[in-house]
Amino acid sequence: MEMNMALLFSQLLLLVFTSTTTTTTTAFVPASLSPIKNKNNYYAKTKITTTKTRTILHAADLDVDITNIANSSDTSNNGGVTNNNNNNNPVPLPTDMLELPRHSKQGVNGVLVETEELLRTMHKHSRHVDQKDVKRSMTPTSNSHYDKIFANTYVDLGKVDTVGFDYDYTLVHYTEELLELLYDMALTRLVNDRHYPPEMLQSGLKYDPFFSIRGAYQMKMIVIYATFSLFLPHPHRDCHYHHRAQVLLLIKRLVGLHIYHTHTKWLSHGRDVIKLKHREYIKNIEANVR
Amino acid sequence: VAVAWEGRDKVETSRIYKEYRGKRALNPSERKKRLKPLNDLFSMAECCLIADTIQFFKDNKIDYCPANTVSDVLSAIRDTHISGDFHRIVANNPELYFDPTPHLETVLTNLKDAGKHLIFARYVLDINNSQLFLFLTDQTNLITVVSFTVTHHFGTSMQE
Repeated sequence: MEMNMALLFSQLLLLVFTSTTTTTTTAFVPASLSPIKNKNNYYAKTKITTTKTRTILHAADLDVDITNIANSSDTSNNGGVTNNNNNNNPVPLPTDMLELPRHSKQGVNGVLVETEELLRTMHKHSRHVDQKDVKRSMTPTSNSHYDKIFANTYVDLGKVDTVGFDYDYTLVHYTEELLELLYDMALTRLVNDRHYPPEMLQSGLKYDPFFSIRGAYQMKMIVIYATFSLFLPHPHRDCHYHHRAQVLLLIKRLVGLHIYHTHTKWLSHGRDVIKLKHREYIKNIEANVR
Repeated sequence: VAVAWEGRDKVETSRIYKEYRGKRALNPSERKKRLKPLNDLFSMAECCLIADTIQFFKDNKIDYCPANTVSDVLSAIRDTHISGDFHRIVANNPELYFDPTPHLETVLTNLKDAGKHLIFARYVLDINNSQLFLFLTDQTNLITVVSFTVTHHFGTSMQE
């Protein structure tokens, strides 16, 4: 184990030293020597730049050995041979770093085992690929899975012991009467405690639910964004920046509404849940677009 | 500042420009000083009460200081919360103030059957909220589990 650590450390050191690239130094040179003529014979400040050849490091350069795994069928034979042949290369990683944690459900474990296998083969294949020759496109491929939903089911609820709930608007939703009550009580308090004119109580002041809308602007944006992302294939439903730009273009073309990029930054952070009212709003937009 | 209202009357754009020195954009420190976000659950009532009070003063030609009026109304709302009367009334009339939550019973029962402990993430110290939750559990037949966790939490928080 100590031997392995030492090997790993030396490899890291090697990486650090080979990655030294460009150095810029500033030095004081007498004015007489410098190409710039200085009237007062003072020392002129000159920049001297030295450039060395740059060695670019890739992720694949960090070669590790995964032969450590007990039940790895694909690497046990080949990996052993290469390990003996190459003295400078791979460092075996600890086993727990190479295995995914197990789930309490057997069905999920199957998926995890498959994923492990996939990752190992990916690792094996990546060694044979020269990173410089591979051209990767940043746009999503056209043949991607359109109608699949990806959920984050990795959280193992079977292992969770305690579930905590927030109260307001998670377990309990309130009616409009709550705000009416708060309004009336605060008004009474204003008159009684703070000596506001008692006529305020008699003048029939009442809470008006249509006076203000909570988070209207944000909600509108979220609804429009959500609606339009519904029409797009799966990769576009993500909130990545370049996808977002495409969504915004679509919105602009279809509705004539310009949404600035600065809005979209916090658009994805919208915390409000789209409620029933707003679902109807979405339906309306859908109907208009179709 | 895109739109402003004084009482129930909309403020003209020219006046907004005058107030904010020719530009309606505010830097963060200025925004913090001059504006108060009303984004809370109860802020719709606050907002309406501020507007109505100022409108009342304007209608009856009573001189007022806007900043003081706003702070008075906000503190009146705060006092209403702190006094506990508001929470008590809500807890005593759950049918009036609560919207029914349709699948809550199923969710809670499933969690209970799976042997989970159920706790409040917030407002654990608020007695009124525990009353509300007892009502809720009364509806969903989960009293034993939840009342236990509530008392347990009270115990720990008292010790602290």
